[in-house]
Amino acid sequence: MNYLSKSIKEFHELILKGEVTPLELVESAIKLAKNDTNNAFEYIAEKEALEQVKNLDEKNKNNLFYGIPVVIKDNFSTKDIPTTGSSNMLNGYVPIFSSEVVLRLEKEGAIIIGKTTLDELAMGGSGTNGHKGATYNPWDKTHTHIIGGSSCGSAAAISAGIVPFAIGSDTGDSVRKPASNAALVGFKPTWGRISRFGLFSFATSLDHVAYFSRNVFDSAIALNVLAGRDDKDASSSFKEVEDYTKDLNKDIKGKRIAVINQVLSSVKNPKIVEVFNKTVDELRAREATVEYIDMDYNLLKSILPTYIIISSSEATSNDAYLDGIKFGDRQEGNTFEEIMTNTRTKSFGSLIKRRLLVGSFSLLKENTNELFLRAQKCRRLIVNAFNEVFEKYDAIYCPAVADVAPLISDISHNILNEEFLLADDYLAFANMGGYPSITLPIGFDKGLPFGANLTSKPFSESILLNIANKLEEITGLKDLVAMEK
Amino acid sequence: MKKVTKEVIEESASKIMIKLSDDEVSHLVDEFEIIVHHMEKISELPGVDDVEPMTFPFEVYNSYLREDDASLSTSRDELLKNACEVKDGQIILPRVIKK
Repeated sequence: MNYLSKSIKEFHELILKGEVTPLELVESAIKLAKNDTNNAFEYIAEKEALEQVKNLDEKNKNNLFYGIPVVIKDNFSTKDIPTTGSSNMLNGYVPIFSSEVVLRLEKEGAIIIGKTTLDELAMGGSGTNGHKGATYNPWDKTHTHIIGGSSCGSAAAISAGIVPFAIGSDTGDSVRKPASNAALVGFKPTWGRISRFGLFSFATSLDHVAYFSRNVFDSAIALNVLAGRDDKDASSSFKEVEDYTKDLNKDIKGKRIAVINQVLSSVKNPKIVEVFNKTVDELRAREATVEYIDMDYNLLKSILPTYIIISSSEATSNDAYLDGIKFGDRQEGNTFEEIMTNTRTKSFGSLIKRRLLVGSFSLLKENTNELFLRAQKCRRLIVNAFNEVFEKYDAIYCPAVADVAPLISDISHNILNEEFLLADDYLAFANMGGYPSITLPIGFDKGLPFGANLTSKPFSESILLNIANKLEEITGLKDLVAMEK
Repeated sequence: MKKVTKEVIEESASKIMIKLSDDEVSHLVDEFEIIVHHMEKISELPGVDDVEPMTFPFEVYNSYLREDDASLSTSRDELLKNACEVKDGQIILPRVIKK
């Protein structure tokens, strides 16, 4: 059956009615994955998925994820399934345990059909830095535009209609930016809301589990499955899990929404501004209060360099275990130090090495006050400023990008440029403050999609999803798939 | 703060057990100058040095003690499954004390 644009809920209903079986769904998804032309996959788990389907327990068939094919970003551990983080460092590595999100999805009956490409070890935002090369944007049949990263393969797999749900991770904007480039809903719940057990750490204080779906309802049901305390992750929250679908259809009368002028005015593409402002009119027509507010421009411009220093410094420490000794692609050497140095030198890609160097440089005794600690202090100023906004508003609403997906040939391979557009690099504020943050499509320009982002205060997912759902009703942009096979 | 030089880059690299090519070092000198420049601008933000460094997104106060149960355990064989060379339950590495 042609199921490319179906949502999780639609599949579920078809399965219940007996119009399609989980086996048929999974076989179709695997066939599409094998014909993927966007470099979305690190590994297609055909044998494992078919085995999982065989073991499905029919008494769970009322679970919404029962029999639904899904993909997992390749920086989540999957027991007995190779997991590389798209790094040569981990070629051949097969985890002996599964990450908590994988366990929860499997418990619901979801079928993992593959592991998806990423920027190496989730560092990078273009989707061009993995060990298998660039991942392409299914909306661009010429393969010249990026889909964005680091969760590039997950975005490409769902956008190309292979699966209706994909797990990613988001340390700066790694799900919410590709979501904009690929006409998807990309959702990063509050820091601690979903267990990170089994996710390769990049920057522990900023890393979040996040995911892609085709509509807001699917995002809500996924959170119902994934949220909750996990003793294996000390940073996971004890806060009670809600039914995140319960407020989706509430009206948004009286909801207070802030648009940041400085972000909006840095959007390069006038079509994005035009469409965005129309959505603001529509939100107001539904009696939400939307106000355009000013924030300190210099503080907003400090988000990216602050993010780079903190994330690189944390990565330097987190990735110290990648030495080729216990696992990984070990190189020759006469001493164990030589083995480690040769392995790290040969197996890390250029961008990773440079990012780790930024971390090492920032952590030098003579530099730590002026780089690492100052970045951490700046983070507090940034979070304080956004917390003040959230005292007055239920959500912040802004375009997610400055333009549609750029050309691969225009991608800068620098870690940080002298000049950058605020609208392209502000979303990391939500990682710094741990805020729930969701991107969804609002329009197209010359065939390429663009999205807007809503962010709210910690643990206010129900309010956020409610506003997002209304926005989705306004735009009518949901269940979008880039191409027919 | 240490001035960005080839030597400082190499010192930073050796601390994290990475060797760099000459091209990579020279690229990094340029990149570090940009990063340092951005951080200098941040140092001018009003009040930036008057706040405590932020290490996590928000404060989480827990006052519980878990039971001292060995709830998660993994066998030695499993743990060694991904190691390159193993003998008698140990990972083989070059001798530290030469004969």
